[in-house]
Amino acid sequence: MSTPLLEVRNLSKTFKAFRAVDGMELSVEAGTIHSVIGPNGAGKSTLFKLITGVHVPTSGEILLGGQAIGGEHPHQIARKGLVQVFQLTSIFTRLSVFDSVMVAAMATRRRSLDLSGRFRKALAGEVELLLEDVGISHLAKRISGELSHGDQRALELAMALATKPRVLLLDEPTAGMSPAETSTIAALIVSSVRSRDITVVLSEHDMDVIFEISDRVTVMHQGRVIAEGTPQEVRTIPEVMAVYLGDQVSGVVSVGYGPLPRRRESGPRTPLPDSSKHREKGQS
Amino acid sequence: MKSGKKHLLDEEFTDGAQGATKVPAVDNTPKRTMTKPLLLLGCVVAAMLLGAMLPVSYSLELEYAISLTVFAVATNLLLGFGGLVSFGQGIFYGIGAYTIALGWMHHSLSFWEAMAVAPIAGAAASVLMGLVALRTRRLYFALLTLAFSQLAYVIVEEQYGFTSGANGIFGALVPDWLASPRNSFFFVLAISVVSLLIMAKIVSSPYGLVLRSIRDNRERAEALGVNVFRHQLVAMAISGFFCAVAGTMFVIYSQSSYPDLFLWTSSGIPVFMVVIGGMYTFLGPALGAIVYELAHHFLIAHTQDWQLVLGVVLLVIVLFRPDGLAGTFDFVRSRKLRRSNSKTEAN
Amino acid sequence: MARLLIELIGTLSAASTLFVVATGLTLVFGAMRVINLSHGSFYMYGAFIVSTLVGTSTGARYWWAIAVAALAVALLGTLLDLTVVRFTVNRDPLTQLLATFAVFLILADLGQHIWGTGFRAVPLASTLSGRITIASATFPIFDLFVIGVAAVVGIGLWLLLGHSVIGWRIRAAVDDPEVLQAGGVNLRRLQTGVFTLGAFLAGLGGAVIAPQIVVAPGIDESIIVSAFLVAVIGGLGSVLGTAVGALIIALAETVGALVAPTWASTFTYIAVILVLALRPWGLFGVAER
Repeated sequence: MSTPLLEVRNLSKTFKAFRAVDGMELSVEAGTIHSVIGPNGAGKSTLFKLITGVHVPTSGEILLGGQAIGGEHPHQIARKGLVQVFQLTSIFTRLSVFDSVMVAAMATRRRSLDLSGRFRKALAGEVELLLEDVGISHLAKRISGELSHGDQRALELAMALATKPRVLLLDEPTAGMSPAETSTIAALIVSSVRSRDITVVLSEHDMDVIFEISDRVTVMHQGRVIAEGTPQEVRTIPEVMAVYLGDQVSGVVSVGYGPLPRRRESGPRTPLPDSSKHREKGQS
Repeated sequence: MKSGKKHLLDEEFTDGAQGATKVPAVDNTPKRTMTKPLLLLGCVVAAMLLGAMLPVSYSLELEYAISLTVFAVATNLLLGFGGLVSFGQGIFYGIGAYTIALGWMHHSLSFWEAMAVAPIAGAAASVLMGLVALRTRRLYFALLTLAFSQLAYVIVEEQYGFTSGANGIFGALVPDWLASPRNSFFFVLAISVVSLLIMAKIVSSPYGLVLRSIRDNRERAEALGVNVFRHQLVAMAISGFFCAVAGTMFVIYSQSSYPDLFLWTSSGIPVFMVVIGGMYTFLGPALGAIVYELAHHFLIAHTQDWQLVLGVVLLVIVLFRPDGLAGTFDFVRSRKLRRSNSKTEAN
Repeated sequence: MARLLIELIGTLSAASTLFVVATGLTLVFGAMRVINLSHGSFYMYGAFIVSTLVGTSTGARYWWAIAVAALAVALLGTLLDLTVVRFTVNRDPLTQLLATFAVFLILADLGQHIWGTGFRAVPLASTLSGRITIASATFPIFDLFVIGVAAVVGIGLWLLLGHSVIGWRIRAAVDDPEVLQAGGVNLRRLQTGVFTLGAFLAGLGGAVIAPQIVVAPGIDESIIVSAFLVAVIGGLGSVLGTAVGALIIALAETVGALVAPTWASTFTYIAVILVLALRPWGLFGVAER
């Protein structure tokens, strides 16, 4: 097996007396979608903050492409290709949708102190493509702050993609979304990253999403790993079920994503009769 | 950020927390439509005609008002476009004025040399202030700019020998040909238009866009890899540059310079102009400057209570209509646009 | 030694006024999160009211003039809080700065209506003029008086904040307003009270120091920045911090005046700015994040 793109080894983070993350291990292969799940307080958010540089590890290592990044500043880590899309919608409220994505594109190429317009025109095509992929090109001129929640998350995704990340961290991307929006975003995640060869690490509460789109799943509880494997494997582990007492894990739920939508669909998700409909995966 | 509490010292605190600020539905950065440039050209032509035809006392007043538009727009570079609340732009205005005045007083700089040096001095001083103040968060930044204002005032006032202190500097500070009101009017108009054009170019450039993104969401910009500090420092340099230019025009208009220009209250005036005119548009502050100065001029002539009027108007605007005049126009226009947008979307 | 004592008393006296005025500012910020640029106006009004009441007399008028002035200014503060300041609570810094700047302008204008545009000198009460000699050092009794006032204010606030229900509530308002409100306390009324107290202190500061300054329009403008710097250096919301901050600034000014008189204020401001640049939350403030 080749070196995993993102690795976390024996990572711990202690706040005063509280061990938020305890000897965490994570190994994400390039090009995969890897989910991290766990009940509230399991340490998922802290783990993400450690990876993106918001927190400094108390001990342990974080490796991106073999390079240690533990303790570096967020914008340094972002420059290395590891980008997070925030759990709380965090956009440029007064900028237009187009401009927001443009900022993301420019910032990555470190050409933001450019005063001439030429470079900006060159990027415009790329931005338009991104907006199309994510399904919001009809909103290009609208002010970001005025968009619906679902559209804003799509915008966030477009902005993140504009930075041409190697690894994309998604912290609860479907939080607060209707079922229709959720399926759209999930499909967008899959299609956008497949076509761009991005690795995704996401944390989620929506079990359906997890089991539909993930290649591998890591289950956290009280700061450490209690299970790791493919969605099928993890789902049947008794410890996992115990930890999720009363939660959404229930039998086989399937939602086919069918032909990938380019526009927002309104209306409920349609469970397809064929329960094993998956979209193309590079590996099993 | 972690707790849900809205805290005055939180960076995430955006203006109009009580919902008073209305975000227009459509992007309003300088557009490429034809109507706006024509309208502006019309304004410039109108100004030229007025300058040529008005009696001198009026044209002088208009000249001063026009020079103030540069001051206001330059201040707004920090305020509306950069999200930096500065009560210190009077410092650079004063530096611009004093460069010419001191150059004349000590016979060390010719007028043109001083005109060239002044903006650079303003930019340099602004960068210095930025290096110190930009590392602090919003509230402390504002208070630090207040402190810097007083510092500048104290320096100028106390170094009597060098600056002639509280008396100020008066005299034939500009070349003879420029002392004539007609000539000075067109000179000031020319400089103002050029300055505004340059600043417009900067605001609509990629740099301007990134600056605005920092204003909207500093953390997100930083997370994207933007060097926030550097961008804000550049904004300070540009603002300081053009505030100093405005200061030189003050000397051209008044042939004088005095320490009061540095007071924090003097720095409050361009901020006031920005708020009247609207801080989220480029020319809003220019409108605010003209409205302010003409109102000021009129009021001074008819009453001793202009401070009272100023205070009341400012209070009302700040508390109830923070988007200013330009914001009102925009609101009306965006409602029309929203209606037509929804019509097309429904089809 | 004597020289040192004289300088010390002078410094303490200067610090005293700063302390009294700045304390009002810091309390208002702490309990209401409002930065009030018109705080200096209260100071000015206090001085002007005393000048009007005392007139040219050097008798005992001064004593009750101070009391009346401080109370009158306190009332003005209450009025302002109920009409204007209440709308600035919880707003962003720019709105607060501009709104209170507007109030400053309004008060300045009204002040000129009432007291004219010229300056006044308030004669020193005969009981307070004169000098006293301690340990072969001679200094004005008035300086001791000013220090005494500051001490009383300091002790009074210490008692109020540390040992009374209201004081506890004020401190709670500083630290955690939501919890306080959840406990059934009327936050708005508490804030009005604090603002009144702040105005009272500023008015008192101006009233007490009136005989020693030039009472004229413009002192509202100049005192406010110093008061803010003192409050910020000490840590906004901390009374103890304000005391320390006042001492530091007064000390800087004194040392500066001894070393290089024309540069004294300059160096003081620079020093303050540097301190704030490195530690903006002040000495006793809490470093956020």
